[in-house]
This record gives sequence, structure tokens and C-alpha cells, in this order.
Amino acid sequence: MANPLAGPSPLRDIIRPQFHQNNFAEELFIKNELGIKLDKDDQICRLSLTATGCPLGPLHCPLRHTTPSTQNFQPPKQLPVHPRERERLATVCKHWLRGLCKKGDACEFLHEYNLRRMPECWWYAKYGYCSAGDECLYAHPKERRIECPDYNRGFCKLGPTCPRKHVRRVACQLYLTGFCPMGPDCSRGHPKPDLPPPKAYEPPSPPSVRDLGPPRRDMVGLGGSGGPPGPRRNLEDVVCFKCGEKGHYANHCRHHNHKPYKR
Amino acid sequence: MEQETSQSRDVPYSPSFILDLATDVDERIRNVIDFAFLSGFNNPTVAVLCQFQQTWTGRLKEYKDTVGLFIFSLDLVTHNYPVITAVEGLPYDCFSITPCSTAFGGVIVLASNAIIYVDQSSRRVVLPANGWPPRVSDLPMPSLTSQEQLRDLQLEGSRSVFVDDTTLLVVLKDGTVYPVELVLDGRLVSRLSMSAALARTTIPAVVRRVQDDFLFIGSIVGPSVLMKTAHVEEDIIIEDDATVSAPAAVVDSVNDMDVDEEDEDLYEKSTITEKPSTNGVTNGFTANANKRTVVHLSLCDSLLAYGSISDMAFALARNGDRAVPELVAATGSGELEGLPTPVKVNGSTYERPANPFHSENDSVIISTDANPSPGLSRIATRNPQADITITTRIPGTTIGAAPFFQGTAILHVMINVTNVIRVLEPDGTERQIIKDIDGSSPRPRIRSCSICDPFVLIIREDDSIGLFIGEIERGKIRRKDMSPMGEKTSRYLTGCFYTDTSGVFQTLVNDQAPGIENMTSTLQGAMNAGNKSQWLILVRPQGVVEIWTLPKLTLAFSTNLIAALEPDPPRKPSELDIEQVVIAPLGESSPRPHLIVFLRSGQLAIYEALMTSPPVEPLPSTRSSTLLVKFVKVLSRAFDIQHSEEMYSGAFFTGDRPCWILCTDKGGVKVLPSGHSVVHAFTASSLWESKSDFLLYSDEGPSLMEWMPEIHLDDHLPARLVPRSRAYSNVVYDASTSLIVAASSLQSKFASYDEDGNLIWEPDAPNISYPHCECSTLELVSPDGWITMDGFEFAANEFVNCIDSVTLETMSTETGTKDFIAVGTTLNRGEDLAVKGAVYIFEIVEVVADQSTNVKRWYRLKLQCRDEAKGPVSALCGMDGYLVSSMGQKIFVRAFDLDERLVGVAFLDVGVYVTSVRAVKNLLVIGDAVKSVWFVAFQEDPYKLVILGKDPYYSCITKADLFFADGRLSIVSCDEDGIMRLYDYDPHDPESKNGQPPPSD
Repeated sequence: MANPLAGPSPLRDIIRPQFHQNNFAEELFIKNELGIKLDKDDQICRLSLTATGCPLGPLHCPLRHTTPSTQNFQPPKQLPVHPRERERLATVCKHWLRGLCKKGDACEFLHEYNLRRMPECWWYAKYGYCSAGDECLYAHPKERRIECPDYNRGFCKLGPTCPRKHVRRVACQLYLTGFCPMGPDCSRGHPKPDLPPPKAYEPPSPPSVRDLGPPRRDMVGLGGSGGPPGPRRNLEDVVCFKCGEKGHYANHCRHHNHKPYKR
Repeated sequence: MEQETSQSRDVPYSPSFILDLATDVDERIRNVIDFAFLSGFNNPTVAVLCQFQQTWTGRLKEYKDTVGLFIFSLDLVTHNYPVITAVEGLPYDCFSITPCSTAFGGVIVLASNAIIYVDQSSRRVVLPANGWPPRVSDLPMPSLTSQEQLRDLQLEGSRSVFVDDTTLLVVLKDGTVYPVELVLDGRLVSRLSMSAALARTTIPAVVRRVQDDFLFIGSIVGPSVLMKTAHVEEDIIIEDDATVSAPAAVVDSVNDMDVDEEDEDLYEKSTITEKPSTNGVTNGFTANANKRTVVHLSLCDSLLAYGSISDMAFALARNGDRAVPELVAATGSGELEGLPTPVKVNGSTYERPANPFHSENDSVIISTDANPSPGLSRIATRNPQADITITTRIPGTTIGAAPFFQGTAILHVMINVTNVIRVLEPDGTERQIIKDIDGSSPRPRIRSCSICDPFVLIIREDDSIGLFIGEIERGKIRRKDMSPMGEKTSRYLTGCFYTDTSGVFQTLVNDQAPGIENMTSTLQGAMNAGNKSQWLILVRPQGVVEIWTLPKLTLAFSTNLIAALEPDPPRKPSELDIEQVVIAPLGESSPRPHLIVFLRSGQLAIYEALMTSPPVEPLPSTRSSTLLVKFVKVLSRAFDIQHSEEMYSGAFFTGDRPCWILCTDKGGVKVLPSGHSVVHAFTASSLWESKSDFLLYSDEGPSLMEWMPEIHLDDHLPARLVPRSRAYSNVVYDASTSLIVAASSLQSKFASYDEDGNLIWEPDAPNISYPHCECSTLELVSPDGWITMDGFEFAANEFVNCIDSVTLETMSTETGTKDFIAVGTTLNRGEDLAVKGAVYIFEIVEVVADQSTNVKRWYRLKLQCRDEAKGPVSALCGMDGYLVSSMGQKIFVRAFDLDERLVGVAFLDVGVYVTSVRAVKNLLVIGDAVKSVWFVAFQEDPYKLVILGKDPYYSCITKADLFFADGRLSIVSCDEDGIMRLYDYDPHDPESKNGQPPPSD
């Protein structure tokens, strides 16, 4: 028997309502004045924006028939050329994470908590431990497993006891037909006909240092995200920024007359 | 003073006054816990339980035994309130007072761990219920026997009542009833003794003795029970010397308890009413060596109730081959009553698939329809081979038909060019035909008719009526002389017959009436003399309702009050016209006649007919219920249906908004919509074997309906109770598999461990117990048969806060999304550590069914991901392929990666404790326990949560959701006090700072 909830019906409106075609007057303000993309570009039905309209109509179209925001359908932003600028764009603002950043949209660091885009923590990748814990500004991946090549081919005799990941994927129709232009980047399954090479069973190599977020080796000791403390600089070499004398850091400076706010 | 006494002469009670206990009575009376009036005194005497110095379990080292009991009398004349008895030093956990009988005075004080008797000379007698009292109190404890030392009862939430002078029944929070005897030594209570459990009833909210030997146990979470207590003297069977010498010993508790539970099972509907005495429980207490008085408890009656609803979800149910929505609610609490209650939303579940005929006859009935072949009546019969054939086709539109002459013939009123009243043989051939003509000219068409063996009433379109009577000796009908009803020009709007079997309709014989006419007595009347009487109800155009006796046709009753049904909005006179009137018996066990009046304005009124004192004729007034409904075409039938054991009788209203009118024993008259948009015709039919079938012709065509078994109609929505062994805190419906996932709520023992995994504390005596904490299991329940297919047990200190069926991204389906079950939990870690939480993602997977279970499809819960959080996950929902979950005071939006882990993509600091999150598209409404409602937009690419607005005032929101109509959006919230608020998102309001998101605080 066909699923009664498959198509649009009053029954589905009660049991599992779909709201993607409901547009509210309030949304226009949010989209246009506040400049918030309430819909992703590929969530909006482009045909419905044309003069002819969407042939499916709002009832059957899986995409949203809505007015796009001013921010929708914008060309991708130019990435900054300078590598440091680029790095800043990938670094989450640590003040913002605590709700303390005052720069708002003007902040040059990332105001986005997206663990997918966060670089992996160098400490965590190297030692499996980071003293900053949950406060760390870099991602701590829980576990590192490779996908089981046998399962991806079709069957793994180890079943649930397999130490490798079994990710169920829909087979890529393009690949089955002959050629998928996405190649290995395709998220759908590309079952290989031949036996996987022994290399495919090896645990994944640790991510290259370049992919890891700072602190790098050369930055050890300068604070960073708070990994295990690096070799401390000899206090004799330290120059106080406040009084200019050697032998202590500025936060331990005893020269009280240097406090500018006391004037 | 003078004024007061004069007032008190006028009213039977004294004037109100306010008594400030601390200033007027005793300054130690503060923080009152409970109070009760004591009987047996000249002046009203009050016992007050209070706690002057407050304390709690953690401060017992500083303050314990803080509760005091003050007994003072009220002198209403002098306004003097002398304290008779002041007892201090009662345990800190006392919570209620029960006054004892006047024979020896005093009160019983219930504490969480002990039962204390306090008499007027401040003597305290303690009965410890477990091992805690000596540890939390300095009261002198009696020495306990070895058996008593095993007793471990928790008295929190218990209620107590005296069934006689010395026997106290304590009903525990799980419904177990324990008898406690006050052992007298002269006129003094020397000690208390508790016997084994007597019975198990409902969870008590109130326990009262009604009259002398009834006990009412009212519950707010389940059915309320009326029990009979009987005192029976029995010879004691001496089994064990120890038992006799220690009368209050706990005797063989385990076995008896099991038996009791089964006997008193409240959900066995059949046992509730039918076992008045057999399930008496014979476990009493010994009074002396040879004889003992045994308290027998037996169940008399119960009021069905389902208590509070903890969660509900819409589910899909099958009704015939049509899918209908069904509301599943988790109700009840405690071990006793966890039951999802499917409530029929549309009530449309009474049907069965249709048959191709739309006119049929199961020996008597004909019905017809103007559609699809207009003006054709058919007669269908069921032949011995059990198939249904149409035997006769008659041209003409049927107005009505009914069995006649004691079921030996069919009376058929129809229009075929002219009005025709026909008597048919059972096989459909014509026996007699009367053409309704005035001389040679045909009369106006018949608008409606009412047939009641042996009378036929027709009402024509010019509001004139015609009356026919059948003569069973000849098997024919003839016109009835209507001369007693006045001149022929009388106009009537509507009318019907009523056959009274209840005996409510009785007339006072008027001696002045002319002599008895023998000729009008009918066989019907002769056969049913005494218990059956027939009446004709007619309505005049002015709205006067008249009831005429039959067969003599004398006016028995007349009223014009019905036209003034609702005087408020002025209406056109024609709107007050009565469209239809019917008297039908409504009720469950003893149907009583109800007058159902339907006005042209769309109002339906139901009056119950009650007997009045002899001088007055039956007055249909007392109970009325009105509702505003609209009907276009109306045709009503009274019907009798068989409903498992009970008989319901009621009425069905056809038309635009068809509904059932039913009456139950405990619920009163109910009007329930039938769920069809329009019903053209309705009849009871036994053509298809089962006795309780109805045939109706609705907009969806003809259908045959049957009464659903086990439906409770006492409440506003028809409901069916599904008894479960445990209570459920959450239910959610998974639309892709049509299964219900429910979280059951249980109690588990809580133990805390130190860092090395050692128990910090464990009970050191058998009557000392661990503290209890909430824990949960997840169950996968199939709505057909309510079988639990699979479950998942959480840790013993973990309980479920929220469940939702969320659509998340996955690579395993073609569409790229799939429904998962997301569960948010709280991990309780004792007083010293902050609570944690976790998010679980389950997938419902189909597995190969076990051949032996006879179930075709079998499912399991597959845990895909467990993600521990630093705070309790108090709310979650799905949004646009992402999971929104709270963690304490944070909101996280997370994506489900590779079916195995949750990856955060956005977060937001909100309020203090998030109680609800709801999303529509990318708009999110967050309810907080302190910071009220937040309205947040979610942007992907780049990910961002933006606060659009929030409530500037603090309130404790329990649930917030989006509410929209006419393309406008508002936010509805419900707070702790039950206040509902509607918020509008209005960025153009000047106070909203031009719609800029408010700064987060």
C-alpha cells in the first residue's frame, strides 16, 4: 500500500507538516533589511523566479518558492591573496566564541562556529590531547577511521565488528553508467570492481602539518591555543614591554609609575 | 456584635473572618503545613501542623524535629483562641494531619518515614515506616521486632483515612493500602501496628470516607475509585504463634500483594462494575486470640480518567482503507498507569469500507437517494446465500420507510408525481397504496414523514400534516381522524413520534375528558400496555412545541419557550423556526428521553426529559446544551446500537456537519462530530450480520460503519485507553515507518561514586534504602497491537528530556535526507556535580521478522551516534536538515556527518535554561525558563544564528512555538502559570530599534 503521507494531503499537514512553501510577510524584512539569507541558493527554485514560473507548482516542488534575499545569488567573494589574510579568515575569533567580540561584522577573524571548517588542532593531532580542552579554537576530531574498502565494494564479512567505517551510500548513477565527472570527490558510492589494494586497509595518515591549525612548531611557546607548555624562554632574555628592563615580563613589572591609567 | 447576630439569623453560617495564626493564636505557628478540624469539642477546634524553624535534609545536623502541632479552639463569641495542646519536636518531614475518633481524641500525623499519633496530652506514639526515623529524629522510637525491621516503606505522597475508630488505612503513593491499628490500653493509645498490605488501588490525591462504609479515593493522575469497607468478624486461623502474639506483624506480604493487584486491576473494565464483593481482600489484623475483625475492601465503582498528559503526537491510523490522523497521548504517572491514549481527532474511525449498493433492506429497511439515478428507489434484501440483491426497483423518490405491523410489512412514503403512502410486503411487492390527494387535485409534496408503528405522520410543503393509522387486523392503513387536533388548517413545521419505554412520559388523567373511545385502541397499545406509550410531538410555526397523546390525540403538553432558545443576537423571525424536533432516548445503561431541537438558525438544543410532580405534565427542561453548528439538510434517526457489554443509544444528525449525539453514564450528553464533511442519509442496518452496523451515505459515497470497541466517550474527545505497564514521558511518531517511539519514565536507585569508582555510601540496614532518581528507557512501539518491538536502556542516572523525529542529511538515501530519532537526555550526578547530558541519534531500521511472532515487518532502533554534552540537553528539534539542540544555556546547530557523528556548525548563547526549541524553515523559536522567548534566524553559508527579537520581560516559558495564519507569523508561548502569550514580530515598531537585533545580554 502506498504511503499515505507521500504526497501533499490534509493528512500530511496534520501528521508531518512541510513548511518549505509557506512564506511569511515578516521574512521580507529579515531578508532585505537585515540581509540574512534565510534560504540557500540551491534551496530556492530558480524556475519559480522566472516569468514562466515553476511547472511543478508550489504544491509539488521540493524547492522553495520564495523571494530571495539580497544576499542570495551573489558571486563568490574573492579570497585575499596574502596567506596571512587567508589564515585569518579561517581562524575563529576567540573573543566572539565567548560572546565578547565588540567588532561585530568588522572583525577580521571568523565569527562562525563551524566545526567542519575549523582547522584541526595541532596538539590534538600530535598528542591526542589538548590542554585547552573544549575551549580550544581548533577542532578536536573524535576518532580517525577510514572507510572500509570492502563495504564500499559491496560487502564486508566482518559486519558490525569491522574496525573501519561502514558508510552506507547510494550508488552514483553516473558512475554506474560509465563515468562520473566528480571522481573521488563524489559523495555517492563508486563501487570498484577489483579488489582493493592492501594500502586501502591501512589506518589513515595523520593530517599534514599544513592542514593543521596553529600553533606550529615554530610558534611553540608563544601561547597559541594553550597546548602543553613549550620550553620557556630564559627570563634573563626577556625584555619588559613596560619599563624596558630585562629579567621579567610586563605583567610582573614592579614599576608602578608606568601605569598610564593612574595619571 | 448585635449586627453579627442579626446577620447570622439570616444566613445559616457565621460571617467570615481572618485569623492570623501567628498573632492571634500562638507566635510559634508559622509555615503551616496542614490543618484539620477536630470533632468532639464544644467549640470548633483546629489542629495546625507547622514548622517554625525551617530546615531540610542537608541541615539536619543543625535543626531537626522542627515541626510542631498546635491544637486550639475557636471561641467565635469572644474571639479568643486558646491553645489546648502544643506539641513540638515532631520530625521535620511531617506533612499531614488526620484527626482520630472522638473516643480517644488526638491526631495522626503522617511523616515521610513514620506515622505518629499525638494525643491531647502531648504524648507521641511513633510507628517508623522504615529505618530512617531514628536517624533523622530524636523522638523515642519503639523497639521493633525483627520482621518490622525489614519494613521499608516510603510514605511521601500518601494519604490516610480512618475506616473505624482504631483502624487507619494509609494509601501509599503507588496505591498500596496498608492498615494501621491503634492499639488501645484503656483509653490511651499505647502503640501503632501496621499489617501487611491490603490492596492496591489508584494513586491517591484525596481519600475520604463517604457515609460509613464507603471510601472514595480520588486521583488526579488516574481513575478515581469508590470502595466499600466491610467489617467482618472471622475466626482466626492460627498459622504461626508469632503472628498472633504480634498482631501488627507483617504477614506474608508478598503472596497477598500479587493476588490483590490482579483483583483490583482497575483497567479490567469488566471487573470494575461486576465484582461487588468477590474481590474482597481478607488480609486484616488480629484483634484477639480467637476472633479478629477483618476489614474487607471491595471495589464499587470507578470514574475513569487519564490524568495529566505528558506528551502527545499525531499518528496515522487506518480506518477501513482510509488513513486518518490519530492523536496519541502519553498519560498517567507512576507504575500504575502509563498509557498512551489514542484520541480520535476526527472521530471518523467508525467506518468500514463501502458496498456498491446504496439502498438495502435487511428485512425491513429501505432507503434511497436522488443520485446517481434520480427518483429511483430500490429494495435490497439479503437472501439465504448471504449475498445482497436488489429485488425491486420503484420509480419515485423515497421520503421515508420503516417496518410496520410488528415487522411484517414495510411502510413506504414516497413521491412519484404525487404523494404516495404504500404498504409493502417484506419482499417488496405492493400491498396497499394511498394517494395523498384532496379530492381530485394533488396536495403539495411531502416534505418529511415520521413513521412509528402503527402511525404515520406526513408533513407537506405547505406545512399541513396528514396522519395515518394502520389496522393490523386488516394489514392496511387508513387516514386517521384529526378532528381532535382542531381545524384542518392547522400548520405545523415539523413533528415526530416518540415511543416511551422509560416511563418518564406520564400524563395525569383528566376526569373531565369525554368518555373513552374504544375504537382508537391499537394493537400496539394493547400489546405494550403499561410500559410503552406513544406520543406525537408537533411544532407550530410560532415555535410552540406540542405533545399529543396517542391514539386519543389530546394535547398533553405545550410550550413556546423553545423558540426563545437564545434571545441574544436579534434574528429574523424565520431563523427562529424550528427545523426539526426529535425525542430520542440517549444514554448508556438506562437511556432517558431527550428532546433534540434543531433551529433553522443552526442551533441545536438538547433537553433531557425529567419527571415532575403529578400536577404538571412532563417538562423537558432541566439539562440543555447548545452549540452553534450549521446544517443545511437535516434528517435524523434515533438508533440503538450494541456496544460490547453496554448499550448506547443516541441520535445521528445528518447534513453539513454531521454528528453523533450520545450520552454516557458519567459523561453527560456529548455531541461528537462524525468526521464526514456531509452525510446525506443514515440508518442502522443489520444487513451485514454484525448487530451494530450503520449505513450512511456521505460525500465519499456509501459506507458501512461499525462501532469501535473500547472507545470511551465520557470526555470531549472520544478516546481509547491502551494500558501499559509503565508511564511514558515523551511520545513521537515516526512518519517514515509508521511507528511510535516513546520514552518511559521509571524510578531507579541512585548511587554516587567517587573518582575511583567506589560507592560513596550504601545502605547499612535492610530498612534503609537508596535514594531514587528518574531514569528512562526508549521503546519502539507499533501502533497496531501496541507491541513493543525494540528498546534502548539509558544509564541508571540518565533520563530523557526530549525526543523528536528529525530530518537529517545522509548519504544513504536518494533524496539525501532521512528521518532519525533524536533524543536529548540529562545525566544526574548527585548534588555535588553539575548535571551533564547527551544527544542520541537513532535510526529505525527494518530487520527480518521473527517467523514465530506472526508480525510481517519488524523494526529495531539502531544507535547511530551518542554525543555527550556538558549540560543537559533539554530541548531539540530538526531544522532544514540540521539538528538544533540545547546544552544548558547554549543552542547548537549541528549537522550529521557520515551517519556517525554530529558536527556543530553554529551556536548561540541564550538565556539560562532552554525549555523548548521549535523551527519552521530557517526560523527558530527558543523558549527559556527565565529569559522568555527568543526569535532567531538561521543562515547557512556562512553559518550564522541571528537574533531577530526577544521578549524584554522575564517569564518562565515551558513551550514556545510558531503560529501562523493568513501568511502572518506570530509566536505563541505558554508559561509556568499557564498563561499563553502571542507575540508578533514587528521590526517597524519604534521601540524595536528599527528591527536591529537586540544586543545579547
